Amino acid sequence: MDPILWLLVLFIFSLAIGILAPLAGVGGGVLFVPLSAAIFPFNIDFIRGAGLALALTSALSSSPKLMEEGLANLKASIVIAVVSVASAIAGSIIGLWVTNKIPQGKYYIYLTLGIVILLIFLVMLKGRVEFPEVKKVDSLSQKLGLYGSWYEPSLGKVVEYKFTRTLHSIPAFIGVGLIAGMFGLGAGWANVPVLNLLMCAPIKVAVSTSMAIIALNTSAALWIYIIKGAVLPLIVIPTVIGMTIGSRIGAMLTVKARPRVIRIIVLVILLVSALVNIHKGLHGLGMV
Amino acid sequence: MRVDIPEEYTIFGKILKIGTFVGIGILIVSLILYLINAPSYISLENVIKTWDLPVSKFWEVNTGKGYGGLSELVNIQYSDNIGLIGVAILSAVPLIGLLAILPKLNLVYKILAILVIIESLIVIIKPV
Repeated sequence: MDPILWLLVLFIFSLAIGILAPLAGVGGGVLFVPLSAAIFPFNIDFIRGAGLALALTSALSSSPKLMEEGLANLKASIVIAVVSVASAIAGSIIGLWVTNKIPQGKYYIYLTLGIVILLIFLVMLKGRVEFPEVKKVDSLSQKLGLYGSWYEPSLGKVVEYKFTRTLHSIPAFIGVGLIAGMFGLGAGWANVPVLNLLMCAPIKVAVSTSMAIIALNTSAALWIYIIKGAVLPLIVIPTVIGMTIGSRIGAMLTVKARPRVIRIIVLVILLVSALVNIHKGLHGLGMV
Repeated sequence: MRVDIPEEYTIFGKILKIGTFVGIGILIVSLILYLINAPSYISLENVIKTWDLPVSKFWEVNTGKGYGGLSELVNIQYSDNIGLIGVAILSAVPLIGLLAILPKLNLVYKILAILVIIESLIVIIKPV
């Protein structure tokens, strides 16, 4: 296929993902990586590099407004980033090592990516709590001053919140960072439940703080991919631009469209792409 | 009704906004250069022929040597490298943001932010 045609295909593909993702309440990278791995001929190394660039760009685009509104908690992001940046870097190094040093390494990545996407599918089915009740704030969260407030227009008042169980959440964020770097995913799907269900952040704060964490995590992990040459401009440029435009359209449509139907469609897409990647991995390893 | 937002939040947000604008702007310039067939470091035809290879093999096949890391970014006469600079700027933005808010943070957060900055800088300066 002609290179210009590839630019167009990737632009339209990521534009469509950019529109769908906000309507379904997922990050673009979570759809882009498994779908591209399932249907495009690029090596998984370049797909993960593009996935991280996508996740980073959407986190960078949305974080400033969320910070201005008091929804994204920068302090919590910095605390979490200390461990998750290190694990995201480790994940990137391990991920590229597996595909480049282990024979049939890419099939192990396909297989584990498929399993991770299945996990995301299950996480997405689980409910979230809009305003979790904080019965007791642990001493670490208290000492770190992990609290904040924002004006909630639907309630017409300022809502105050507190984070708790900071220490308990650290192992979860280490795992999240590792997966993000290894598979090129933004990992909001995992950050949000940890922030919301474990650390008791209200759902809006959890989503917004997750964006700030993704910005810090993926930027560090992406450096590994840049330095190793796994960021191919021919793939990254049209996808980042397409996704940036698409997510703006998606955000506007969220007001009018029926997100429930779209969420079901996206869940089906996720499930199918997970199964295709698992099959690709097992087939490549000669297991099916 | 608005809540009081700490100054470091506003500064960090502003830097992310400006950096993203610059990074995406450079990506758009690079896309335009692709569309007008400006010379690229590796010809687009070769990229397409070999993009199914693992990254180490890809660079071996296309350049006869491995990838030179950050030093490759200096070749800004090529359209693809201009795009890479755009991506590098996007990757550097959160780090610049943290550096900018350091003076505004209290001692504990200053230490934590410095740790995050060091982790990222190690990767950039001395990659594994």
